[in-house]
Amino acid sequence: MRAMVYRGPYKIRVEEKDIPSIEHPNDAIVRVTLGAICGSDLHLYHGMMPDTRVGMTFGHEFIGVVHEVGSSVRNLKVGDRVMVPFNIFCGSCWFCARGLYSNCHNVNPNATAVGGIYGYSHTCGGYDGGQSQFVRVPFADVGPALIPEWMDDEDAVLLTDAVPTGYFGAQLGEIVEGDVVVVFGAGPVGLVAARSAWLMGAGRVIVIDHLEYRLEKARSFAHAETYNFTEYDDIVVEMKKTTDHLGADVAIDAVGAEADGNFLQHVTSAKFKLQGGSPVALNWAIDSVRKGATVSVVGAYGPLFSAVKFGDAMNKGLTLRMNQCPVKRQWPRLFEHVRNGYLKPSELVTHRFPLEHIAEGYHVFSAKLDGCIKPIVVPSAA
Amino acid sequence: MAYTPHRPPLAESADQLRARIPGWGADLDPKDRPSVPKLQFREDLTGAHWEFPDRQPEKWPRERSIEHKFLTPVFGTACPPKGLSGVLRKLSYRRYSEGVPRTGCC
Repeated sequence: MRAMVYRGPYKIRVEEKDIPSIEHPNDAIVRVTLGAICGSDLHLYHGMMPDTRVGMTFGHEFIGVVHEVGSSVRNLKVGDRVMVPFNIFCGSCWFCARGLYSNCHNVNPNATAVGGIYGYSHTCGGYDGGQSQFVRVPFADVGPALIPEWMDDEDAVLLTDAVPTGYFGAQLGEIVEGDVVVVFGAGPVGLVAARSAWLMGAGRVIVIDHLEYRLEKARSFAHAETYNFTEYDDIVVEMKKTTDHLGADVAIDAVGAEADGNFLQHVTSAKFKLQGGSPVALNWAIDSVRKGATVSVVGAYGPLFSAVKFGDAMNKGLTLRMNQCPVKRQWPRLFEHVRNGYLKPSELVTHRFPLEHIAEGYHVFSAKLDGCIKPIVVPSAA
Repeated sequence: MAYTPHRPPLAESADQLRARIPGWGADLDPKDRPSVPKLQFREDLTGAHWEFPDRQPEKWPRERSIEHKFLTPVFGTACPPKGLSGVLRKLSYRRYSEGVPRTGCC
């Protein structure tokens, strides 16, 4: 089969690989019909995530058709069209039994601090991902779901990570009616977080980024006010001014490890790998909210420490809430919202790349070229 | 404002927001959101028909965190450790807990 293969930072190509085989009785092999490149894939692409091995296939956002099932699989059959959450999870460990699918303890031998994720380094379990023609899907009775007849494929693929993560980020913010919500980052996750804040009754939603085309999307897709932080001396002071010096009630970090906006943070994280990530957006979030507020973190950071302003967070009495999104837990409600027209995930899609041209897709997405917000990957077998 | 008991007024009322933004307030009740409360016991184990899963065969000595009690029942098999980097990885996994930087980025 053809698959994207990591060759080192900023180097990927498409190669021949063996079609994955059943390795556990509850595995399925899925033929990928549509995949996507996630902003967090760029952390891998840039060499930010520890134990990302040469030869690995990335991709944790994909849908497909069941090609083969293991002997204990009961809920899926060959030919089913399925959407697969980015979390790999068993359903039965202490964490899964309580709905924390993203924190599953039975799928990642490499670390206890994070669950299993498709195509996301050995830090997340060492599973090949779905930027390929076929992918191994462990615990087929637990993770995947049939794609509803009425759902578009592009909506479905965005529901495997970006949309539920944004929606989850808004939930972590504990938004109540009338709250002022500030979202850092106008990528797909931030845009959905901003849109979701309205569903939860926000009274005002502000999105901050430095890319004008993404801020335009924040205005049209998420109905948000926008601020380009490069136009202000200090975006934190600007947030204070616009909230009559109270500060926002909720802030959401939808940026994560590779935030721009501070040279020292950028150099120590992206260039020298001395931090798990550049927490510029997180620090701005901490400083932009009012005392007693909630800061939600859904941006991805590496396992190393990061220079986060915990002193300010403590002194302000903030609640910091964060996790990888337990995707399947969000689906029933999100399916309703998509069906009701409250969310239209495919509106975020700007580019479609054949799998054979995925290197170009990574470059365009990474360099923020051509108005790229969300690139979709189409395997040739689809 | 921050210096008095009152919140700064919002520019739009709930009715105005509901009229302008499709779905405004659909998840208004904080208790009626999918991830609230954080811990929710799933009686059906989300489709799992086991309490502890069958073990995936270990075809080579699979490196694992020493913070785990044992090798997890299911694991990825991409890119087994090999060569010098593989030796370093295996040594690192065997020796250090997760709080200690173990391996390089590639």
